[in-house]
Amino acid sequence: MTARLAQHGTIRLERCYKAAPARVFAAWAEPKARAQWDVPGRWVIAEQTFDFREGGRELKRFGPKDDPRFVADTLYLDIVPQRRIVFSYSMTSRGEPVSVSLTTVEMSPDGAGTRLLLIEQVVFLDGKDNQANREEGLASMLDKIGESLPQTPPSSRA
Amino acid sequence: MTERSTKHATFTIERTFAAPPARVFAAYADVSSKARWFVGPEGWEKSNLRLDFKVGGHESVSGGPPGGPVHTYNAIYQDIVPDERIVLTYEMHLDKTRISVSLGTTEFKPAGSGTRLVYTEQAVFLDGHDDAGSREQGTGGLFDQLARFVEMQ
Repeated sequence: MTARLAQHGTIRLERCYKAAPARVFAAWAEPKARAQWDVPGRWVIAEQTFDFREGGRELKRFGPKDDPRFVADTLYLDIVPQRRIVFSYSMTSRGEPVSVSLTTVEMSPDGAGTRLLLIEQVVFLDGKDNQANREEGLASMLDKIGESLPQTPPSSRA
Repeated sequence: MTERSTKHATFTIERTFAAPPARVFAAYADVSSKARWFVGPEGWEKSNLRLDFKVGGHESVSGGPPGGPVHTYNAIYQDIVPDERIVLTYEMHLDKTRISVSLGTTEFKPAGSGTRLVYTEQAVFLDGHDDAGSREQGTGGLFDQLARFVEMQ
């Protein structure tokens, strides 16, 4: 029998990007843009559906290249274009619960660029993951967003 | 234009009930049982509770003071372990305005012949609506109603 465990945590990450909020928002909203960064480190996405709208649900199967065993089941709860995205996602590994998260992404103008704040409220289930590991994964994805964005701030493109 | 803001908060409520975990869990899983205790304060107008108690299933109920704003609760079940755990996310609307989104974990643990229930809510309050203090108080009122329901069975 599985020992049942629920460990709660909150992860807070901040990044400043040299791209306008509209571009940063598009990195989440547009399937092609999101596919460039939506998995940590060198992991791969084996399958992914897109439905970016309030009430929309997405499924993503991902993980190490030789064993993409994780499934994220995402539901978009609140979307304010260029400002805010609130979504939940449950994560399972071969059908076993790993975690459930409530994630808030806020974007605000920062000069010609964007300040992004990500707050993930999460419950890790049955010891299958932990806060340090999740934070490392999220940080990796936020860094990849930065690498995927055009580096020229809008003010210098006359 | 609406001023946009978010406020994140976490609170935990613990209660011990004089009823075994299976009976307390059943008060969540069965729609006619849940409708008995998962209701707003005395005097509120109420809608029918809709409950599809399975992972991915939805739940909704609304109510409010006569002539006042309608409070609407919409939940989705994220993880269910019978007699042990329920994880859901829910949003609250006040009339047409979404005021919060929450992740709620309910754990049911044996305590002698009764149950220790631990409820943890991780919430984000939107655009200055509601706050963790009043949410915690309102949720505590629901557990008072749950205690009366499971202990009189």
